[in-house]
Amino acid sequence: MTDIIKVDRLCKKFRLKKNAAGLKGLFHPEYKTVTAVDRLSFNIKEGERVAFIGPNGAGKSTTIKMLSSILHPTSGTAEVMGLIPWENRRRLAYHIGTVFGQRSQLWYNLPVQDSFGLIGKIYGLDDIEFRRRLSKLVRLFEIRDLLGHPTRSLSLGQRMRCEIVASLIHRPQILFLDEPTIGLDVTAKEIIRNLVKKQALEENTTLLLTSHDTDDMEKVCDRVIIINKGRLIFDDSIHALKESYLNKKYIEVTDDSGAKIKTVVDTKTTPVKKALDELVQKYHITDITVENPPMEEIIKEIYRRD
Amino acid sequence: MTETLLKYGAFFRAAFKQGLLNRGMLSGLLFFLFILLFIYNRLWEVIGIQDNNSSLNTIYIWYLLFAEMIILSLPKPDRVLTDDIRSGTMAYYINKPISFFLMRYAEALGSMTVSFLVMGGVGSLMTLSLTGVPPFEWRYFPLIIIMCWLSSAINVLFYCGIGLSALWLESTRTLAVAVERLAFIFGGAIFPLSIYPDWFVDIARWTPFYSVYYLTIKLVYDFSWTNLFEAAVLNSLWTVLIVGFVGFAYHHLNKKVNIYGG
Ligand SMILES: Nc1ncnc2c1ncn2[C@@H]1O[C@H](COP(=O)(O)OP(=O)(O)OP(=O)(O)O)[C@@H](O)[C@H]1O
Ligand SMILES: [Mg+2]
Repeated sequence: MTDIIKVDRLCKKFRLKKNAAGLKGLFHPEYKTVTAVDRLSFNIKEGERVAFIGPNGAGKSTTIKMLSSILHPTSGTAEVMGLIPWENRRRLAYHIGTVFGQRSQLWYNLPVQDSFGLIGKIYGLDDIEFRRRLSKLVRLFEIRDLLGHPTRSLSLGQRMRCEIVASLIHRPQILFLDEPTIGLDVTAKEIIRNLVKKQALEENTTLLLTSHDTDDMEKVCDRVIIINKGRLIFDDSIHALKESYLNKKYIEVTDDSGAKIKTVVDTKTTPVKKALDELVQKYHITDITVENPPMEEIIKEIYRRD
Repeated sequence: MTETLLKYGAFFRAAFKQGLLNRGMLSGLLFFLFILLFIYNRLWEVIGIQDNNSSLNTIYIWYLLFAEMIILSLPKPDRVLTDDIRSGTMAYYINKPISFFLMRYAEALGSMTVSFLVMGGVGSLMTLSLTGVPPFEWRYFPLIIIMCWLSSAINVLFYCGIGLSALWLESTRTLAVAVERLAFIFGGAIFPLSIYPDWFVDIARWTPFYSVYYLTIKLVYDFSWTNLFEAAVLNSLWTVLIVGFVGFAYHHLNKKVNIYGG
């Protein structure tokens, strides 16, 4: 299969005014350079579902913005479907979809359906084509009941489903999702993950998804790229990441006195079942959570082993 | 070409529909319009009696109606665009096959057209009952309405341009208010400029408001092909200038967005 996205030593530096306020700042501005993305290289094949993971400020959004042609890089290059994104905005626009979790592309006061209609017009779809496409997406993302409501009245989870539908109306081959699960509760996150994956599998959409949440990548993606401070620090299959870094489970139980007991289980040496059995025998458990190690731990671990 | 029209037409229609649903805004507008027409009608009646000229209020109240149709129908596109620039919303449209500016302009035209037509319709009834039949011949009516709508469209474009100046200005609202005041003074927003002293008119001539407002609206009571031609030529000239500025600002904005993104 061919590489649908190629990224080669991509860099993005931002110049920030250091002393913004006051007269001195006006006449002698001092600049500070922030390197958001630092010589990033990777390739993505058609149909791959890639998680783009990293802590706050790692450069995930900046990378997505460059690949989706919103931003010019400082140096390095990239190709998306054989096109250099920032030089071929219009042409690429018809092949990529973008969702930025922190922004809405729907019209706040219009019924969701009308927003979809406008987006169809932006991409120049004719009515029949548009209706056929929308009815499929509406079924896939289970949003029939939401169509008549204005965006402002939707819950975050409902809105996010509509945002994703909005980005898929023109049948993009590549979908960029920047934190699609941000601010959602566990159930809503789960719904979004399932739907995104279902759509990607059904239409062979190439997916690049950023998140802080390691669960997002486990559930949706087959490959993971981790970046930190703009640099690539890990690029392999989810399976490989799990084998070598996600082998710890953070278990927290609450006993009937209300006390919380935390343990970390290394699943390589101790099966989860055994660890749970021990806990059950020791305590009167009223509540339990099992979590993957947080992002920071994984990154620390990657650095430690290097 | 047709596809482009369809594209932006969709935004015009969506805003038009939204505007029609905004009953509160429309009633407020009509209420304000009625007060204006009522007060100035009384004023011109009194002046007319003193001057022994009973047609004064008919002429000037119909003039006032059309002036307000242009002035009051203006939505706040400057605010919308400034917000879009400040919040970075614009950047997220850069990878969509549409011009963000034209999209916003089409929306503003849609909102404007609703107010324009509603004020035109209901306002005409108000004016009819206050002062009687309009001073223009009915066969010129379509031309007058089209000219006034075009003026309103130029007006909207002008304020869109002000919105884009957020690129250089801290507060575009201050500029918009200043322009509103100037337009009010030099455009003959309440009274036709013909009642002002000559030196004042000579200054006003150099502003876009002179033709976009005054000369255009004057067709209501002083229609002639020469007047129409003069207004049309001057308005076109100003439009070219405004489009030039808008193009320049938009180009710069795109360059900046390229570097800084949202
Ligand atoms: N427009 C901008 N101007 C200046 N600096 C910026 C700009 N956009 C991003 N940065 C800086 O670049 C770095 C990377 O930001 P980016 O938004 O790509 O991170 P991220 O990985 O998406 O983080 P988060 O998880 O918080 O969304 C940060 O230090 C940020 O402050
Ligand atoms: Mg981000």
